[in-house]
Amino acid sequence: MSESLAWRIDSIDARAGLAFGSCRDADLRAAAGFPSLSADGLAVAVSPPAFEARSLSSRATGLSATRGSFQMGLFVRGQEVGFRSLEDLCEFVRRVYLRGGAGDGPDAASGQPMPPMPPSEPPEMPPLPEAVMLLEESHSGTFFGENLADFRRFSNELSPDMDIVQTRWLHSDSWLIGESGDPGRRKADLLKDGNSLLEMGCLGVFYEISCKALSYPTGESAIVICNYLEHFLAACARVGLYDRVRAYFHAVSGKSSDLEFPAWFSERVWGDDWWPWTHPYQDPVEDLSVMPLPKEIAHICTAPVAEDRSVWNLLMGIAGAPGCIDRLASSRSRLLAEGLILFAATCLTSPSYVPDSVAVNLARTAKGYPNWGELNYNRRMPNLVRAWDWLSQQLPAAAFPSALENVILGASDLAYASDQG
Amino acid sequence: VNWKDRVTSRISELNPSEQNRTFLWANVEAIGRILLGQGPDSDAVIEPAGARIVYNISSAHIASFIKLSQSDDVAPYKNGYDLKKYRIGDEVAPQDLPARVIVDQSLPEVPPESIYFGAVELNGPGIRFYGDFCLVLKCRNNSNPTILDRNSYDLIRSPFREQIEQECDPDGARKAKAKEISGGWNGDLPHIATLKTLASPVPSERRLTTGRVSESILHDEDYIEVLRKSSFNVWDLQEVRVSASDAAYENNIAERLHTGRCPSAAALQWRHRRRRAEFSLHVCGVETRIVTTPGRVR
Repeated sequence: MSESLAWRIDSIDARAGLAFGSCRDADLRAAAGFPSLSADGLAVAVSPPAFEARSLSSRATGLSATRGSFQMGLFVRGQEVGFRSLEDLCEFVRRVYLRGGAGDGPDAASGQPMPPMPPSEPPEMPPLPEAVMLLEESHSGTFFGENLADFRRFSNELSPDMDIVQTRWLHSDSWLIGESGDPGRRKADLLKDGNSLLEMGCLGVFYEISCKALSYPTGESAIVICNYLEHFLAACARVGLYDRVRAYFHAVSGKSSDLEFPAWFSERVWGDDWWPWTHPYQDPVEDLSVMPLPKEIAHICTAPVAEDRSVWNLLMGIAGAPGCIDRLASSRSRLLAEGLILFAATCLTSPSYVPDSVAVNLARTAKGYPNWGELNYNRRMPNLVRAWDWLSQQLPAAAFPSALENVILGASDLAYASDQG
Repeated sequence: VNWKDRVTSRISELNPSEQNRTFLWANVEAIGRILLGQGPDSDAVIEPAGARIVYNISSAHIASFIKLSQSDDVAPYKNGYDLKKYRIGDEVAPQDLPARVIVDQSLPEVPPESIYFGAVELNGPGIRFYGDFCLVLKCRNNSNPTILDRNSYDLIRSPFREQIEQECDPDGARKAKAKEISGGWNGDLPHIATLKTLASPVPSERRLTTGRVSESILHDEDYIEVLRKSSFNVWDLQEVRVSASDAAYENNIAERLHTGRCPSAAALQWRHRRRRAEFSLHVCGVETRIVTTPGRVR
């Protein structure tokens, strides 16, 4: 057996998460002469959503894929990349696929993109609630900063050789409790800080939508923003944060405020005729995909910056390449990014909208039960833990050498439409 | 190359009894009719039926394909040459990847940059390996393109490769082999399809079904290649097809999402892109059909 025999990519469509691989020597370059015949019988196709490998009878299928959207081979630092195992290759393709999701723009044909913020300064919004500010002050790093540092260190420690790529697999709870973490302590952290982080993410989106509503009170843009606001409030109800959004809105739009929110906006957030659980949308992914990303962290998704990215883009981008958080300079921005992905994960993993409506109705109809905020708070806790569990399973299962990590990071910048040779 | 003679030879090789020979020729005629979209007793063509050129592409690219169509791009559907900068990792010059150069130089059509490689499909969802959305071109967009009875990259794989390399002029031998496996859509497709169908055991005293013919023409990675010399846009599509298994998977993801057993992020992204792609195509007047049976004609 050749020493350079490894699982190599015959062809890959990175955004699509489709790849053909074979166990062979590095033979795609001209210097190798000609693609060898040795791999016939050990060729596979990998595809989403499961990223399982399916056996093929010939490499011809994978090579022929380059007639369309597939690139031939994967070369990094001048070498044809070789993975030690098929599992390594599949994990690489999965991560590239997720990261590519950060580059998905709004769907021009099926929806209206969020109007951009006007070039002038956005309206000044009052500060975030006290708990969120306390979180900012008490954290010099980020919520899962230690785990990210471990991940980065593992990556840097791996050999830069691309001919046979070294991989460091993480244990299954690595992103939740760290490589040598204490599960009990971590859970306590989740309960202590997670709620504030969740609020920070949620209010970060609300702030962004509010600014746009104040900038576009009428016209076509107002209709678009109203639609997105409804999606957002439906997601808040699902997570158990609708009451917090209402409380924040009440605080910022009170008598002493100079802010004049459009009537359609106030009616949806604070009125009696519209409730999020009556909203027809029942798809949390759709909700997340129309939530605008706060401008200060938009560059985490793509380079150059696209201002029309959503919370969904952010979630996919971080799940595929958590190192993108390093693009954020301030700890506040990092906390906001983590708050947003925690909010997104909680929205996806929470079972339904209904309990929140029960809580709100109790608050509105039973005079002796004013504490619906506490009810929602207690409900959020199991949702939060469930969300962290889910999120930790989506984040990388393995670290690759930094050159390969950079390749994954760049997957969000790929575009079929504009990238003509 | 006379594909009709090859069919005759193949039937002779099968050495059928007189009765079976009658059935075989009836089946051969039926294959031709099915490919043309004709019924068994009439030459009238059932409009949506018959063989089509198809291109499989990921749902991830549908939004861009539509955007390019709407902006009058000269090639909304891109081939590998159009997309040479769509890649991760190092950039590599085409001449540094000899496999493609060798195959392209052997093809009966030139220049390779102008060729948009598709496949012949009857009622199925195309070559799923290349993408979950199968773009089906309208019949009127066929201008008698060259077809190959198999994937052109078979020219550099076993067993053709060994045969070709035994010759004193491998490049010439490869070109000759490419010529040998090629034909024209209008004249040769029924014969090539017949040979593909007859390559697997055919019932001797039974008539072939449409589903059986459809599955013979394109099955997994075994297909008839089309060398179409122009790109196309979204309005050139008759329809888009997706496989029943993908549709079932998509629904399972939705079911799990709504019952609180959250599927993986990759699964959610896959479903989200498919939903958006389907809706965008619908807005453009192109319907997405789930292929539940290879015998479907509309």
